[in-house]
Amino acid sequence: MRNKGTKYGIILLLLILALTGANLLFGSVNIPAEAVWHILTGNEVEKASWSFIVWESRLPQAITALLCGMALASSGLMLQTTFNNPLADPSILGISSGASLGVALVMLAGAGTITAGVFTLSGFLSVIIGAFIGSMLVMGIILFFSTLIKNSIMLLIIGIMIGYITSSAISLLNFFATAEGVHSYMIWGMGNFGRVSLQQLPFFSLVAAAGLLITILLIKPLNALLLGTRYAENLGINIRRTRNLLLLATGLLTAVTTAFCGPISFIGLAVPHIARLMLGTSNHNSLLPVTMLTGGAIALLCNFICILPGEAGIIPLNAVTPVIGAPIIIYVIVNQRKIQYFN
Amino acid sequence: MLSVLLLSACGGRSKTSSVIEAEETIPLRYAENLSLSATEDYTIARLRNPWDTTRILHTYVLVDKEKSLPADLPEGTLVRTPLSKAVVYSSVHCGLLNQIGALKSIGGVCDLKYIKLQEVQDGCRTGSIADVGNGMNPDIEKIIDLHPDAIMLSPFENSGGYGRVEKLNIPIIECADYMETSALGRAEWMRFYGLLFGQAQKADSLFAEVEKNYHELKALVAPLSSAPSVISELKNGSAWYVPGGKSTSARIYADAGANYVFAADEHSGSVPLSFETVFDKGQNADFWLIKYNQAIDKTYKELEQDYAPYTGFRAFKERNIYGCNTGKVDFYEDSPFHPDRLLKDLIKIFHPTLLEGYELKYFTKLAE
Amino acid sequence: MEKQAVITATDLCIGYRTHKGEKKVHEHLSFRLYPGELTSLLGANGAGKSTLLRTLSASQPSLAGELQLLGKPLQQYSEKERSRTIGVVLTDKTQAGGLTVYELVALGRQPHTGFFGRLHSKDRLIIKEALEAVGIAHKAKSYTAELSDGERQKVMIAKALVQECPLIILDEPTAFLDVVSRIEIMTLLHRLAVEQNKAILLSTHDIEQALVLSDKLWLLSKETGLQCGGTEDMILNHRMDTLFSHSNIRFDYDHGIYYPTVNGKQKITVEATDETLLHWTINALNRHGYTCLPSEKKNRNMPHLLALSPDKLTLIREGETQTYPSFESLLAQFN
Repeated sequence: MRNKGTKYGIILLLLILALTGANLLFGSVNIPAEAVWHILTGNEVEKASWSFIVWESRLPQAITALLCGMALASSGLMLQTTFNNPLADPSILGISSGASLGVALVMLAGAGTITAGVFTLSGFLSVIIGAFIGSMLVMGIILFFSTLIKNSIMLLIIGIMIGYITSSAISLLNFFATAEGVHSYMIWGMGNFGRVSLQQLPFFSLVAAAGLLITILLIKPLNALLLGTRYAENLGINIRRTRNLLLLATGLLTAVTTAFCGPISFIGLAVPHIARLMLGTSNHNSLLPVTMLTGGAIALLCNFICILPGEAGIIPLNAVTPVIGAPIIIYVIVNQRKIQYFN
Repeated sequence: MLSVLLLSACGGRSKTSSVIEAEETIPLRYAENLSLSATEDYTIARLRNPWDTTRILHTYVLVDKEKSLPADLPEGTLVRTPLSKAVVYSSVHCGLLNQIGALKSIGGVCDLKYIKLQEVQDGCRTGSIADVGNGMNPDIEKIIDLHPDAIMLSPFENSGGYGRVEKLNIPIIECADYMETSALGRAEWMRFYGLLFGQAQKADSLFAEVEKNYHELKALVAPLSSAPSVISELKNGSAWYVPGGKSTSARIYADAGANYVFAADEHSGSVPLSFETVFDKGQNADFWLIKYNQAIDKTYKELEQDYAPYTGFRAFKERNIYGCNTGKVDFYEDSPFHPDRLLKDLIKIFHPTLLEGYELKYFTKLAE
Repeated sequence: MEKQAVITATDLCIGYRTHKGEKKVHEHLSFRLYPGELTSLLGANGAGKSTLLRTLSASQPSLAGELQLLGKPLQQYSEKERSRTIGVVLTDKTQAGGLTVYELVALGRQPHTGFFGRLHSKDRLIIKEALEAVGIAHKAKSYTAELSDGERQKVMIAKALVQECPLIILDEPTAFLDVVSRIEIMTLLHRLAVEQNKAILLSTHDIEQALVLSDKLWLLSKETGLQCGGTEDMILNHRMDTLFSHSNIRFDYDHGIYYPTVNGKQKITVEATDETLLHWTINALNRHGYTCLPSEKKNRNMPHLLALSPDKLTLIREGETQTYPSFESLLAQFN
């Protein structure tokens, strides 16, 4: 089993490399491959705008897609194992709903501005902060309940309820907002890997990396949780502490991806299943790394599809992810009797 | 009196035989989707469908209230003029009506929060003008209660009807002026509205003034040999919606003596492009015009935070960005029927040496 | 030779704490659990077996009294120490269908491995030995989802083994298994207890096999609390009688099973050529509502059955004698 994991790991790394290359080579503007190579190796090219496009637009977008994919896929896997629910995804605990509410408050109620005392922020920064505060708040609420409640199902229900309440609040905000605000919010809701600039990339990468690191630390407890909480406790796992770490990791990963890229659907739900089907195991030692890499590859693929129309325009991200994700889920549901990890 | 009321009450959609009297065309020079012609007894307005120009959007037959209803009327929606109690959905039209002296004919408005006209705000407060709520979903009861003689709203493609208001037997005036592709074309519709509200003369002379100003301004830039390049709008999500090459914005840039970077484009609406494409073509544009709606005005710093690659544009580096905060400036309410004012602003921006002493009305240079 | 007890309980009170207060299930329990033997916990449903096992495996706290594990109070054990001392085998459903047998058993090494649960050669050796000990080594590479229920139980036992705990607690390990698997598992557990000197405690409803293969019996009932002792001692001291308060069942001391009380309205005397034939003849007659009396009580007013062999059954009733070639034909005429 370990060999299979390594084999897939290498294949995925190569795939990621290839897809990153594809994302750098293709775009709405036709830049010849040689030129892209020259640009990346620090040489001059005939059009200065090309260099700018590759460094400031395509490269940050590719890296953002890669990190988002890894973050969302890992979150999805952790949640599916911890809550013993194959349909769990990062939105299930209401954290991305919290982010959406934060953004809605900024865009719809605050007219794109946050004012705190003498401190006023506008534009994209206010959106990011709104999303972060919203998701951190929900994460805090869930963590609080996690310390009180031992039963994971109860926690799940609380998360889902928070999701419904935030949905209703967002509906209200939309109803009373201006047409422009509603349009802006809707556009944000379509998901977009291209908003993170080169300057913002370090911060984005740092937070994502922190979340991914915590996730890796949870491999051993996640394996124990496959047996259920009673067995896991007997193996020495502290259920509450594990769950709190899980919530922290998921919170960070979901907050940072939603804040910078909007709510992205399906990757967190479908990629763990893709990884499980490929590897044929539930063992997180190989499943988690493969899930991360697959998530990165899928996100890069989606991003590539979005820019495929080239001159003709672009496709919004959340229109592409379900096309890849939904067939996988349907396949899993239809074939669940034959799939060993469902038994 | 009672008979007139009865007649107008059931006159909403009277269709009689299509008899063609000798019609005299009222010439319109710029509006493409509107045609007006008059006979002794009535005036006909034919609105062409902007989304399918082979079809007619709506035909209106305007008959003076004072006159008796002629026996044979052509097919179309009957409107007894002048309108004295109309429900006006849009603040743009409220503004126009005020200028042609038809303010007292406004009986109700929608989306009150967007209407900056003080008289309307006051009227709603005192109750002389009814607030019928949201344009997307108006308060039917209030409209019925008002007994208006017309409803003025903006049509949109594949609208699928206007909901319950259609069933009220009140003439719905589909104001398709915004779909015109030239600035003067849109403004010329004021002549139609003038006819509706019994202020034809005032509307005609207002338009003549606008037209005159527009051409005078246009003549200012005609002899110039060089034209600066211009891009507009901002990236929204993954798409940067730019005005199409045949849109009103593109044409007015040309009239103002500027080279619009996407002038070759064939669309008359907005086109979603990727950042790369806009950057590739517009990196070296001289000027950059943006419109936005925020509580506080945008700054260069904020633009940088919004999306750092904006700093790569020459207009950014040389600080030639002009912004219009539509939340504070009456851009959308004012400019449609006064394209001359917008043209003046644009000329001042593109050719600062002209129009000495003129202060920009809509746009301001972006602050740091 | 004094064996050191693995568990020592003194005046223990077990039960639940709810927000309303305490619910005591049993109090003043004192008992010991020894290594090197298999102990079976028997009792009716609701007698408190699960509560007791959960308290002993530290899943739930005791309400009062002392509970010591290897000489140290149980509540003083850290999570890690506990995981190395107590192994459990439960009836819980798991998500582990996608793990191979080897991987699942390997999870049992978690209390001993480092951060990522990486296995060293020592761990692999222990896993290999456990798989062989329970007899599932040939399926090491199969997915647990593909195993039968009996095989899956063996895997869970192997997992508990690799935890290297002196105490293993099993909650109804043979539930849902067929008789072959049941005997297999009980035999296995007994062998492990003796060979590896572990204290193995299990709760079960399979009284038959418990009496055959356990060294010690713990009988738990609401009325009489907990009684512990050697299997044969408990049986022959008639402790099995009071285990179930139901008046409609009796314990058969010869055969080690419970059977329904006979209150047949009709009486019949029975005589047979050997013990086995006599037993099953009485079994058949009891089932048909007859109380059987020994042949000494023979008299003319009662029917008498003489069983010479399974195919020669002579019934003497109201002066009439009839011989039947099988029980089926004999019993048919009673209807």
